[in-house]
Formats: sequence, structure tokens, C-alpha cells
Amino acid sequence: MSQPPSQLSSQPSRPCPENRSTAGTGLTLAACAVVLAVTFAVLARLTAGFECWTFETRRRHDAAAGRLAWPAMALQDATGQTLSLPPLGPVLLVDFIYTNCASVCQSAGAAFYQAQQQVQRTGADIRLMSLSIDPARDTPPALAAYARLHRADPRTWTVAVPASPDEGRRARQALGVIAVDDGSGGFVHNGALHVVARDGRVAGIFDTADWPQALALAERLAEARP
Amino acid sequence: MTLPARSLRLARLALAGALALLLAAPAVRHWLESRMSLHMAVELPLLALCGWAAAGSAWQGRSRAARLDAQGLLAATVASCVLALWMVPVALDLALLSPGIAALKLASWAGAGALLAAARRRITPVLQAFFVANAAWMSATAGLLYLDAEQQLCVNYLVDDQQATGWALLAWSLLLGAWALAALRPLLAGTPPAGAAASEPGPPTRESG
Repeated sequence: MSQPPSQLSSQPSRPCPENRSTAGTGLTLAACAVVLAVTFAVLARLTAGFECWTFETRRRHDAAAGRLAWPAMALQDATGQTLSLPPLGPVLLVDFIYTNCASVCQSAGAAFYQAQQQVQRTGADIRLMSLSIDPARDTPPALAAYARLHRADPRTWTVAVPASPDEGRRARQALGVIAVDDGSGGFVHNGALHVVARDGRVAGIFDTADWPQALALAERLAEARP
Repeated sequence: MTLPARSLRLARLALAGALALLLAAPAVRHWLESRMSLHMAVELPLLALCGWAAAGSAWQGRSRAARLDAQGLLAATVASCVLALWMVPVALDLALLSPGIAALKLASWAGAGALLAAARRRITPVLQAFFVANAAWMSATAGLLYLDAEQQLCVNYLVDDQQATGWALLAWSLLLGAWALAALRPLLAGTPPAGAAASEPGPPTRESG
């Protein structure tokens, strides 16, 4: 580790070890401060200013801030007719379902029926959309059965499936809607209710149980005609 | 470089190369990232191990690196920050959904492993025990939070997988706790710590690697 005295004496300009040590410690502390600052900045960016620690809360935060746009997508409804989303016109209230689902999607259907009744009562320019995340099984007859089960009135409520699995995957990826295989033939997904403004911007994302708040936002957006 | 040292360096590089190839294989990566427990408790440590093996002893004798990372404080700080960052559920989800965040994950864990390898002779037992115990505490806290959470924290993973991750992080915290105690053993035994000699100020050592 140490050098012979003769070698040290041949380098008189070298700083003494104590000075080098102090300089090294200062440099290390400065580098550590930079690392902490960078980590703080990255964490602040990932969590939208330390407000959103999960992806879903961040997605909802982005939607509330007007930073989430509904991607254009082609659909096929329960009658087999092709349509595109978002349509320019009504405000949309969209949920994600799969007809084989025995729990969450059925309660979403029940909530949408109540929303449908309210929309028809008030005459608000709002359209309800139930989009399937399972294009392999949700054929038009399966969608029609779901619509019948929940008494969906096609004048207000459209039950549809993406025109192709790729189309659905691409749109869900753009929205941050992730469907995970639950290991028993179904899916767990973070769909919830999306309120889509006339300009195609997602104005809010709500839990299914909070459908009255979602509908209230959709009504406010529908009243504010361009 | 002596023959055993050269063999050790080659073995380390071979391990780094094999791990890099393994972790880059789409099928392996998909499998490791298909479950939260494998993602957090296996893939992330393997990335750090890959960085550790790749760096080996290449930098530990270099005076410039030693000055920047006095007593291994910088390496330990980087590793702590990387660990804290990837305990956050949104970071884990974004690593699967955003290529930029996935690249940040690979670079940060491999980089932390490489810095720790470079600093392992410089770091003092007290500093090592402090940071490793901090990592143990952090892993245990995150593990207990994951075990306690009834709702999905990551949209890509199911709740039962989340709970398995909680147990896996608790297991890691026990290992890290044992490591922290082992790091203090030279001090408790009254023998001069190996890191202390290396951390003493002195003329630059011969470059190795």
C-alpha cells in the first residue's frame, strides 16, 4: 500500500494525504447529493409530484388534468354493425367488460342500467358504451345476450367489441387499461368508468360504484355545448 | 495480474455475460416479469448481480473512482436510491408499459451492482452495515405493506401475487439483516476491518483489471 520514502520524496508537488482525503470526501458528498436529487426528481415525475403511488391513481390523475386522449378505434356492436370511437357528438360514458364475467362486469351492467334510466329521463346528450376486452369470445350474439340481460336500450347504450384483438390491445394500451388473466378463464382489469368529452379527451375515470359522480360529470360536459 | 486473479476475472465476466444473455432472452424476461414476486425478488437482484459480475475489480484500485466514492459512500447511496425507487408500485407497472422506464430499470440495477462491486474493498464495515440494514428495513416495510394491501397495487399483477411478493420481500429482508450483522462481525470480534485499511488515505494504488 505505502511507497518507499525515496519514491515519495521524488514527488514534492503531490498534495499530502489528509488534503486529498478531504477533497475526496467533499467530492463524494457532492456526488451523493446529486444522486439524491436525481432520485427525488425521477420519483416526483413517476408519481406525478408524490401524489400517485400506483399506476391507476396516476392514470386517473392524468385524466382529471386533461392529459389522456381516447384513442380512435373501430368497433363492432351487438348487431354486427361497424362503428368508430369516439364519435363526434355525444359525451361518452364508457366501461370495459367481458360477457363471461360473473361478478364485476355484471355489477357494472346493473350500474349502467341505472345510468341509462337517468339519461333517458333527463334527455342529456350522453351515450353509454360497454366495450369488451375479450374479442375472442365476445361475438355479436354474446354481446346481444349481455345487452338483453341488462336491458340495454340501443338508443342510449351500445355494447360493442373492438374490430380486431390488435385494435383493442392498442387502444387499451393507450388508455392504460390492463387486463390480466385471472388463471380461471377470466380477467382482472382496471377498466372502471371513463367519461369522454366531445373532443375525445378523457375527462374523468371513476370506480363503478361511483357511477352517479361519473354521470354528473358527463351531464356537466353535455350541457356545455361547443 | 496473477493466474488465479485472471481466472477469477474471466469467470466473473462469463457470469455477467451469461446473466445478460439470460435476462435479455424474451421468453425468460417475459416469465420473470409475468409475476410480481419473480419480477421484484428475482429479476431485480439478478440485474444487480449482472452489473456486479461485469464490473468485478476493474475500478476498485483506480484513484479517481476511489476519490469520487470515498469509503463506498456513493455506491451505497446509489444502491439505496435504486432500491427505494423500485419499491414504488407505479415504477414497477411503468417498467412493463414504457420502454424508457424499462431501460431505466435495467440501467439502474446493473449500475448499482457495478458500483457496489467497485466499492466493496473501500466500504467500511459500519457504513456497509448501516446501508444493508437500511435495505433490510426498506424491504421489510414494503413487504408488510404488500401483504396488508387488499387492493391491487400494480395493474399488471393480481392480489395473490402481490401477497407472495410481500413474503418474498420479507425473506430478502431477513437475508439482508443477516448480511448487515455479518458486516459488523470484524468490529465485534475486535479485529481490524478489511475495509478500513483500504479506505485509509494514501498514495494511489496500482491499477488493476
